This record gives sequence, C-alpha cells and structure tokens, in this order.
Amino acid sequence: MSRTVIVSHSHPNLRYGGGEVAAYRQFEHLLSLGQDVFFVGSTIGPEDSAKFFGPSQQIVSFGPRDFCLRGRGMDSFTMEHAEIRDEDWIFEFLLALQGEVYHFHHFWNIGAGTIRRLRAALPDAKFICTLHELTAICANHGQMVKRSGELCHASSEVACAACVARPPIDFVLRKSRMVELLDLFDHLLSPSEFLRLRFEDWGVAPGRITVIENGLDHHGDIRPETEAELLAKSGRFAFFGQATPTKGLDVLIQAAALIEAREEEFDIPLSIEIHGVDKESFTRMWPDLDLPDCVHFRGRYRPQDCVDIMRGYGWVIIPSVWWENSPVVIQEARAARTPMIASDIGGMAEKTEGWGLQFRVADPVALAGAILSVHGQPDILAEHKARITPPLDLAGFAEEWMESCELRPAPSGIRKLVGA
Amino acid sequence: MQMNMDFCFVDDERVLAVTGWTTEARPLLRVHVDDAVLAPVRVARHVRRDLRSSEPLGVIALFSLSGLPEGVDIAKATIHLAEGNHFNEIRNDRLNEDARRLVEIGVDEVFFALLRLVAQRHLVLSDQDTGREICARLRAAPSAARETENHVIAVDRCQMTEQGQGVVIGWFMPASASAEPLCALAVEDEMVVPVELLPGSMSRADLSGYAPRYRFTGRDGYGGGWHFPSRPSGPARLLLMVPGEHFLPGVLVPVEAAEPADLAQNVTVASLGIEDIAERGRLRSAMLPRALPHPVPEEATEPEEESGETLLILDHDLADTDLRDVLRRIGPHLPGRLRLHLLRPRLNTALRNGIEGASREITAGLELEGASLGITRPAILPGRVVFARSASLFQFDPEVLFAPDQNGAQVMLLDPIGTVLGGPAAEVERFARDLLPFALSMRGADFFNLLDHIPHCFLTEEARLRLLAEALMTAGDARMHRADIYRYFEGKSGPHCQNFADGRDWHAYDAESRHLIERAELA
Repeated sequence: MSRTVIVSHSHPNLRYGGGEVAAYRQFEHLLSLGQDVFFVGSTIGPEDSAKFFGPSQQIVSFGPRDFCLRGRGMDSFTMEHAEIRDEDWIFEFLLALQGEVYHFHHFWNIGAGTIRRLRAALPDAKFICTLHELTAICANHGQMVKRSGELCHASSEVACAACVARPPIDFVLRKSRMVELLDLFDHLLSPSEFLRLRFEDWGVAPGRITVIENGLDHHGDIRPETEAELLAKSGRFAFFGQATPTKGLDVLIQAAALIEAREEEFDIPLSIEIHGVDKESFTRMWPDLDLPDCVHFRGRYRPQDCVDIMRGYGWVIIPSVWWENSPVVIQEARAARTPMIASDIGGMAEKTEGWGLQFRVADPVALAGAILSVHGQPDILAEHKARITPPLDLAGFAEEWMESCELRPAPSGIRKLVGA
Repeated sequence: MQMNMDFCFVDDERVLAVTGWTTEARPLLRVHVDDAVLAPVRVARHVRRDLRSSEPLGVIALFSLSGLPEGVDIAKATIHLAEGNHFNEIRNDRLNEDARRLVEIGVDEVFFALLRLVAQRHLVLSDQDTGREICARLRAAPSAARETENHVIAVDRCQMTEQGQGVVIGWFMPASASAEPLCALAVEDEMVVPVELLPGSMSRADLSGYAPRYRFTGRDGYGGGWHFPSRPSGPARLLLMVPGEHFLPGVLVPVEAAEPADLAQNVTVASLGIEDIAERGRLRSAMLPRALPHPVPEEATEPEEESGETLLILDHDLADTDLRDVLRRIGPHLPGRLRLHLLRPRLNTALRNGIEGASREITAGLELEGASLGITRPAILPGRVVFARSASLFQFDPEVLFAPDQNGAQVMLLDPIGTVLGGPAAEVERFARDLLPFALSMRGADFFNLLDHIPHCFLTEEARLRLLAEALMTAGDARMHRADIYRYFEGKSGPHCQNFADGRDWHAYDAESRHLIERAELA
C-alpha cells in the first residue's frame, strides 16, 4: 500500500495561507478516502514556535497523522536551515515516515538540504512539488515585484542584484540551488498557467510542470436569485483579504474616493465592504488615505464562512498589485457564484477570464470605472454569474493529481501506525 | 693634527668606514688601497664627551670601495688611511671585525653616530651577529625625552605584523631648523633595519598651537615604514633619532603587534595624508622586500602523502551560507576524501553549518583541515592541492580541477580578452595585470615546496599563489585551461573583499604591493 506524506511550509491550524490550506485539504480528502497519508506542516518562525513549543520540543501532533514541526525561521534567500541540527532532525523525521510519495507544498521551512538528502536516501520514492508562488525565481518574497514597486517580468542576476541589493553572484548560486532542487522532483505541479509559464521562462523544461487547480469543496446547489435580489446586489461590492501592501486595498479605497467625489445620486446605493481587515490596521498601513463613506470595514471572518459571506454581494474585488498565482479568494468567489473585478495581471487575469471584469493593475481610475460600469446593472451581474463554472472540488483534484503524478489509486484501509 | 683612528670596517655594500677623532675642522682624509686612492663619500662629525670638548671632534668617514679598479682584493690589499703626509696602516683583519668591536666597546657617541649612518642608509650592517650586538647595547640604553626645549616628537601609531612589516606615524617639530634629518631604526632581538622615514610629508594643521615654541610648517607629520628580512623572533622597538641629540640614542618606542589588514588600513589612511604620490609609494615600498623570488620546481624527496586526497584551499568570497553549495558542487568530482582549508580567520556558525551540511552530502568524505588566513604545510601532504576563490570554483568547470590521475599542474583562468584574442604569453601578462580569476590544481608536495620560496609579504595568500601560478605558466610547467564562460560574477564577501579607506580591497592592495616591488627591482 502506498503511503503519502504531504509536507507544507506552514500548518493551517496556526496560519491560514493559500498553500498550506490547499495542502491540508488534500490531506483531509485523502484521509477521508481511507488512504495512508500523513501531514507535516511547520511553524514559520521562532515567534510562532515559542507560543506552542516547549524549549526542547521539535514537533507538535494535532493527530496521529498530523504534525507540525518547530520552524526556527528560514531565510528564503537560501532556503536552508541556519543550523544543521534542525535539518538533521527534519530529515530524520521525514525519512522515518517511510513514504512512497512525498508531496511538498513549498519548501520554505523544510529546506533545500532536507529535500536533497531525503531524495538521496529514498531514491525510489515519488517526489512531487506544488509551486504555490515564485520564491524559487524571486528573492523579493517570491512576488516578482521590484522593491521600487514596479512589476518584474523576468529575473536575471544583475536585475535581481539591483533590486535586492546583493551581489549578482549570490543569484547565480541561488538559481543553481533552486534549479537543482526542482530537478529532484518527479512531478512539478502548478495551480495556474501563469505560474507554469513563469517557471518555464525561467528555465524549467517545458512539459515538466502540470497545471492542476487547488481543490475546494463547496455546495453545488445555489438558490436562484430574484431580480430584486440581483438589483440590490449590483450595488454591493466586497473585498476579502489582508492589509498587506500587495493586496491593493489602497487602490480600492482610492477608487471609492474617486467615485464619491463625483457626487452622483445613485438609485441603488453603492457600498464597498472590506472583510479580513479592520479599520485600525488599515489606518496603520495607509495613514494618509481618507476613508469614503461608502467603505465599511467588516473585520475578520472564519475561512469556512467565506463562500456564504460572498454570496451576499454582487461583486468581489481583487485589486492586488502583484501577480498573484491562484488566489483561494477566486475559487471561493466561483464557489459563491459571485463574479469578480480583478487586476488584469498574472493569476488574477487567468483565473477570472470569461466571468470577471478586469482593470488596469494599480490604477484607481480604472477600478472606479469598472465598478461604475456594473453598479446598478443587474443584467450584467446575471450575465457574469451565468458564466461562472464551479471550482475544482477535492475529489476532482485528487483524481487529476493521481493521473498527473502517475499514482495508482490506493486501496482503502490505513496502515496501522505503531503506537497509534 | 693627524686623525686618531679607533675603528675601521667594511659594510655589506662595500663601504669602508673609518671612525676616530681629530681637532681639524675639515680633515683632508683619503684611503690608499694598493695604488688606488679614494676620497671620502661622506664625513660625519659628532661630539665626544670623553674628549672633554663640546666641539664635534668625532669623525666617521666613509669611502666607497666600488671605485676601486677591477681585481683589487680588499682582503689582501695594502690599506692606509692618509691625511696630508701622514699614513696610518689599516690591518685587513680589522675590516671584518671592527664593526662588532665598535658596537661592543665604542663610546656612546660613536655608537649613536654609527646608528644614524645606518638609519640613513649610508652604512649597511645586516649580519645577524652585529644586529644582535646592537640590540643588546640598545636594550639597556635610556630613551631620549619626547619633548625638550629643542624638539617635540609624537608617535601616533607604531605597529608591526608578525612577519616583520612595520609602520610608524607621528609628528615632529624641532625648535630650530637643522640640516640633519630625523631618522629611525627598527630593532628586534637579532635584526636592525633602517626605517624609510618621510619627515614633513603629512599635513598636520592641528599642530599650529605648538608655534612659536617649535617650528610649525603645517606639514609636520611624518610616516615611516620598514621590513625585517626575516620573521622577527620577538617584540621590536623603534629608535627615533632626533637631530642634535648626541648623548642619547634617541626616542625608543615599543612597536605594537598588528594584524596585517589593520596595518594596511593604517598605512592606507596615512598615505591619503601624504600629498606627494611618489612618497606614498616610498612608504609602502619600505614595508616590502626588495625583490620577489622566481620559484623553480625542485626535486624533492618523496614525502608522506595521501594520494587520493585533495586539499582545497578556499577563499570563500561568497555569502557564508553558500559555502555548502560550493563544496557540494565539487563533491561528485572528487577522487577521494576532501580536506578543506578555509582562508577565513575563524569559523562562524554559518560557515560551520555549511561545512557540516556539505559533509552530509559529499560521499567521498569531507574534513576541515583548518580555518586561517594563512596557508600552513600539513603534517601529511595531500595528493593534490586545489586553490580557488569560491566564486571561481562555482562558476568554473570543476571536473578538470579535481580529475584523478593528473600529473602536472593545472591553471584554469578566465580571460575575457583572451577569449577573443588568444595567445599564452599575453595571457600570462594579463593574468598578473588584470588579476584574472583563476584556480590552481597541482601535486601537494610540489605545491608546498614551491610556495615555501614565496615570501609572506602580502595580505592575501592568493597574491603568493598568483606568483606561483604565474611562474608555472611562464615556465610551461602548468597546463592552462581557459574557463569558457560568457558570464562571470566576482564574489564580494569575506575578509579579502573588505575595502580600505581608499576604496580598494585586499587583492588590490596586494597588487599595488607587487607593483611596487617590481618597480624597485627594475630601479
């Protein structure tokens, strides 16, 4: 029987990011199918570790098959542990799990050296990696956005040296290390075409990367909306995300201010509601921006409630000023059958094509124009809703995953764990 | 009155020195060597208290024997000191003995006058016995005062490296002008060397407060450098000989030990204060040997060696965390165990981690031989030694450098001009001129035998290895490989890439040192 070990750079019990959530959903789904599967996540740094771990504790178990490693904080430039003893421990732990399949979601906090040594120790195991972002290519948080703020279209030793302020030779080594690391995997997966193309432009051989969307389970039956509901929703816009500079919330607020400055009387009131960010954190991040009256902060939400909350809006806006890859908020909007207004770049352009509106990235005027073009237009809303196809569910993901990675569907029944 | 002769000897540069005293203000001295007659090249006068006179009755007259006709053997010739019609025979055996005797039993004023002539390079006494005697006599000598009514002298820095390169920086203001220069000697247990002193070479506007008590010129700073011919065995002192001070040897200053890089930084800072570019060069040159040897391979007895092992002498000029990748990259090409000598002063956590990480991935085995900025001969020689900077090792093809069963030396270099226009002779020239990136691979025993011939006068071992590689290339004893890579980036990390006050790193500093030595050789 085939044992799968899913390894993630983080653990969703501690931190709720797209990659780790996708990894954990995959784990839960395979477990529900009765497969022999383990999940190994990590804390992302010493602060988190200090909260949950004893001084000499290396691991926390959330279940007999669900582990979280103590992350000491890894420099994403090197992707190596600062202390070899940490690498030794993680290597030994992963080796002890004796998986036939190791599926890595990211390699940050796990370490390039750990993966190289595991690969050498288990030459017959199948190694899979899902590329969730561009860290292998870009040392500036993997976002391919220059520190000057402009979007980056391709990496090079000299350009990266100018951006990150390190000598060009550092990037020669980094790329060599990353290419070597990716070569260790039998299968590379990407949740978006955009990401696949970026990696191929960078040097990964065409055909090496298979695109599979992250899986998201959702209710298939959505009650049809009345005309009155559509009309009301056509004035309701929402943002779901965090107050980080790259999410573009400032662009949205500026667009709202432009709309309000027109002093137009609307038959249908226009409101923009912000989920995931509170007013205080917004003001801390952008102290010079005045908040228009049409903007309302709704604070944090539970991830599992997101789709239901989205259903209450006509449009979800994703104004990110970096490329994004395959944001879970787009899948959630599809699950909610709520169309999107998205920046016209990268994963946002790709994933909202056909059922969303796109505006020029980082341009509040363009965003204001896009909002006004659909505001109070129930027909346009209905038309866009009709074009939405549901996202790939976890069963669909598992099927594509097994096919792409040439994995035989495992018979049901979990291998008995020693001591479990 | 005829001159009373006390001592007479010949120095290392074939200069005959005659010391004694006379009441004549301008004695007309000459030396007869067989039929040849020599006039003095220099006559130095000094006061002698034993003659109970404040007049400078003491004399040291110097005669250059280089003016003698060919074939005159000074050891066998008949030699007379003459003044008018008076002739005083000089026995030949005194020529080799009197220098030591003077140092041993000469009155203080003669001894001090002798030291001045040595400090001013008019006399060269480099044999160790005399050096030892001078040091012994100075050991008990009292130091002159730094501040008197006649002068004030200050020493800001007086430092020397373990290898015997030293520098003194300070300022000096006499109360009145003197034709006699400030001069100095560096003294250790067995050696005495003159200091190349540059009085009045550095702007020191801050000393104006000492005027009018002392002569203020605005350029009262001095710098000086020296170089012991071999590594000093103990601590050294500097003897600063102040004009007009005849009854004491001078101001004795202890020399502080300094790391070569710290000394280089201080020299650089001091040099920036010297307006005259030529004088800057003189300061640096004084700290360097007069010539560089040309190492020639020699037949060595077969040493004990581990034939399959490679000793990698690595200048890790990349980020510390990248050491692991540099080592890993060569792992598959190793014929046997890898021993690593890291050219770093010490290991830090990241470097140690890098070595330990690589050791877990290099199947042939990896062992740290040492971490220091200098190369030392290991007790058991490796079969092969490879030297490179990490940036080169990472970007060059390691297969050639680490290939098993190599017989001769291999030099791999990156020559951007040579890739366009080849030619071995020009390549050798550019190798030195442009500091071309290179890697050297050769038999362990040959490597250490040749390296022993190259002096430790540079900041980096690479400068010595560059000389070694160049000698091999010039003699056709190394196989040259051109690194055919279109894109190359230099490393910018590690101690050798640190910049001095003038913006140059250690490699550039060494290149300048080499240039100065070669210029002195040509002169």
